[in-house]
Amino acid sequence: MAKALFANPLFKFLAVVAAPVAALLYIYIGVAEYYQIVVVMFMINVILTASLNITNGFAGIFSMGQAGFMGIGAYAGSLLTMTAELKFSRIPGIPAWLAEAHLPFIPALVAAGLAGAAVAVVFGFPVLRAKGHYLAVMTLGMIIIIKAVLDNNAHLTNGAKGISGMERFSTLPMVFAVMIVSLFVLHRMTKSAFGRSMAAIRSDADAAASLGINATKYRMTAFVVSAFFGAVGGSLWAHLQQTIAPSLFYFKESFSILEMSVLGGMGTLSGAFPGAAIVTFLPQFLANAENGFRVFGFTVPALNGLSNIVMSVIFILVIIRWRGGVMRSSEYIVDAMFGRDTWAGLLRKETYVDFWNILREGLFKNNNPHRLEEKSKQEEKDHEKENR
Amino acid sequence: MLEARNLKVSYGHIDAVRGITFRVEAGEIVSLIGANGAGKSTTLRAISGLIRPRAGEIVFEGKPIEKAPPHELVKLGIVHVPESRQIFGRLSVAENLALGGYRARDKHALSERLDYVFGIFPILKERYRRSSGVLSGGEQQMLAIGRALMSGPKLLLLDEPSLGLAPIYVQRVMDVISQLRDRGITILLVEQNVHEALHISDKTWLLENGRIVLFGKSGELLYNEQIRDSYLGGGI
Amino acid sequence: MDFFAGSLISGLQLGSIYALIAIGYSIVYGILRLINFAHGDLLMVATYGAWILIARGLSLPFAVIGSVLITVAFGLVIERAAYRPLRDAGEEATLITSLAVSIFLQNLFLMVFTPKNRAFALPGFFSEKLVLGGAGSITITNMSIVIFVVTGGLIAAVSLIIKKTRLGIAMRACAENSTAAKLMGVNLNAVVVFAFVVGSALAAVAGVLYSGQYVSFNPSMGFMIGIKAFAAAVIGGIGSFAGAAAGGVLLGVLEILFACYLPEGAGVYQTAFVFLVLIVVLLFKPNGLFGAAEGRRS
Repeated sequence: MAKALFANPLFKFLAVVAAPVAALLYIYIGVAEYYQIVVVMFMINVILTASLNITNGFAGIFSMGQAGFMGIGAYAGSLLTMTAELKFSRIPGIPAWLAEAHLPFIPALVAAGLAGAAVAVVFGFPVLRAKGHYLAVMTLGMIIIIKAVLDNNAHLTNGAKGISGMERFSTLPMVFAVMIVSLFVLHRMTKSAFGRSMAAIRSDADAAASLGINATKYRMTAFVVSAFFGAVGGSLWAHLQQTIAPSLFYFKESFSILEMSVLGGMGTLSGAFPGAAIVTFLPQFLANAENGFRVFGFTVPALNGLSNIVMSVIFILVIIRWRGGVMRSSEYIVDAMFGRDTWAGLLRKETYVDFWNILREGLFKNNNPHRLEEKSKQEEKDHEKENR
Repeated sequence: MLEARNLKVSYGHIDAVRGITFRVEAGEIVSLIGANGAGKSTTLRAISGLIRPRAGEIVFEGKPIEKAPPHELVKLGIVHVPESRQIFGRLSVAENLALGGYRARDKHALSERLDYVFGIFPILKERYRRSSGVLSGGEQQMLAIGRALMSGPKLLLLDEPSLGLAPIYVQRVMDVISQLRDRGITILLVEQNVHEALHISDKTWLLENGRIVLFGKSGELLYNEQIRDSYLGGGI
Repeated sequence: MDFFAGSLISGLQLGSIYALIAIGYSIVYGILRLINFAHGDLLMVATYGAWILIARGLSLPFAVIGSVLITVAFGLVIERAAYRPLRDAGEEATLITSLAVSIFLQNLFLMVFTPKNRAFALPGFFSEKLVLGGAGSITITNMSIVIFVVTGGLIAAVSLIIKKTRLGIAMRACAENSTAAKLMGVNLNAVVVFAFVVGSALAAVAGVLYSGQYVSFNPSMGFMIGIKAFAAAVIGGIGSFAGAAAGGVLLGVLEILFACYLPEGAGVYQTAFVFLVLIVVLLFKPNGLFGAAEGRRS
């Protein structure tokens, strides 16, 4: 019954589209701002995680450097949306051309993405020549180099002190819209010929090459696309937190994104949702514990870093036990969101009839033992017919 | 000496060995023949502990061994010479042989065995200090067998020793295998070279698609029609 | 004192410490194809261990031995709990797990010891200077001499173990082909444990030497040093013992020379520089300077 339910287009629509949108609407209108921020953070994390899954899951490029692109996007996006006066006051020594540069939020967002993509092209050449472990370590080197550049060009970035004061453009509706658009684009990519070639390369690079697939080109494309959306995520982040600094886009953040990716399921876009959910919301609960609490009369002192410890233990357990993460290889969520199956299904009468039947079966099965007997007798008859 | 009962071995969902039962008597050369993919190598790997069988038992000298790890089995006297030799190319001949004697504690026995190995494979003495990666295929096979002998095996599992060897080496290796049997080592031989296998062994089991389909004295099986047509190319 | 000679000595010092850590990485990687990001953090564990033991009144030699034991214990627990279950998993799984272990360790010590920077104070003997040579003389501290002697000795000892002992040959066999090694009667788990013991011990000594020389320590120190040492191992050719040692020394020297000689302001690019070197070396020699081509059966 569950299987039939999950396959039903109406169910998909309700579970994956209608309910979440309704929830978001409620949060936007009725809930305190602090919690809204956490939800926006969640959506930004979804974008970041999905962007990482493109390289790590789909392209077989194990990158640990997503925070670097985030940082590029944060800085590029902020520098473009801040007014000239603001920049002059916050970044001493800023050159005129940079101060004058100004774009409205959305074009700035795209520009930030392009900045990330450009950096990816530059790093891509040396980094993508490596494979496996070596590549992973090179991506670590990438973050280090990016941070060093951000730290040491104070006339452009205000160095290690960072910049604050950008406007909070990352409102709930705005981020929601960007998230949907981003996922849609990524979704189309994975379903296209590009996606299929990517899958071929991931399983066997040599066989793919013999089919004429240029692995380098595809890997670079995946890397650049991933960087684009990583940078977009970074810019959104900057316009939510309203303060950025190079140290905020370093190992810890990269690992966070990696955590979300792995926990949710690295090989799918849908995995971004459970992964980002766990990593965004769980520490909120643990944050209370971090400040100390009373249990059975003992006072547990403030435990700095407890949430990190718990997260890393959970992480290790998940890898050992459930390597595929929550979604394994299932693209259920994203498919349900954008799939023709869902939307076309809504136009067909059978969808609603089936849905009602499934519900009825489920709801009444337990309350009507008589019906159960009838059902199992019917099942037996069917079974016999088959065996003949 | 060795008995397998209803052995089933799988790789994930793929059933390679689907319930076979066979025996190896002490002091004999027994061959396991069959086409590629029939399950011969898998059977050896199950015996030597590299894979744990899904079901069934393997009993060696009265003791059940299907759950034992490989290094335990070497201690018991079961030594497996794997497919394609798998010698340690980056180590010297001396180090390869020393590894063969890894479990042995008795220095005297080790040096005796080394002399024996040099006796049957003089080339190993010649190349003793050299890196084993530069040896030819036939020489590598000799090293692999020599290495195995260093642990003083009671039961030797040989996986396709003739694979990829020039005919003269094949002959050499087969001669050595006979010699070893004469010295009291029991041998379970997996071979795709059915002709050689039937000539050298005492008994033969034929494996097809993970099941035993034929068994008998090797001498008699040489004249068996099924084997002739399928594996020996018909005619004498 | 000659500026170059002074920088060179500094570089060799740092490089020796990197070499110790890089060897540990290499040994474990050789057998398991595992990059143990937590390896660098063992440095930190050793430092805190030694610091606590000294505070409790243990004399220096015993404190060092004690901290080595503590660090080895941590290393073994990590191997058993986090890495052994993943023995047959792919590269990625072990990579991210070791990152997670690293974060776990850092945060554990953060929680217990707070992020505060502390000072590892060694007896005055170590800062005494020795003057070598006549005119244009070179001054070198006792600490430096200790570093050179200890690392030199340890590298020689480990090298001997790997080349000559039964266990060492077994380790090299496992690194090349663990299946065949198992068939020789080698107990892979035992060999892995041994590798972790050696690696952890080397990291522990490196930690004590590092803190003795550079004094300041905190829970996050290990990760960065570990990454650099790992880069050194890769530059030298990971899986190669000689490569790791050479890579470590080379990287240390380059890093210090870079910091000393390049213009003002560029010095802060020190860490980034390390990785630039890595990227450049890998571009031309994808298996490191001394690395053999990877062809492994398992």
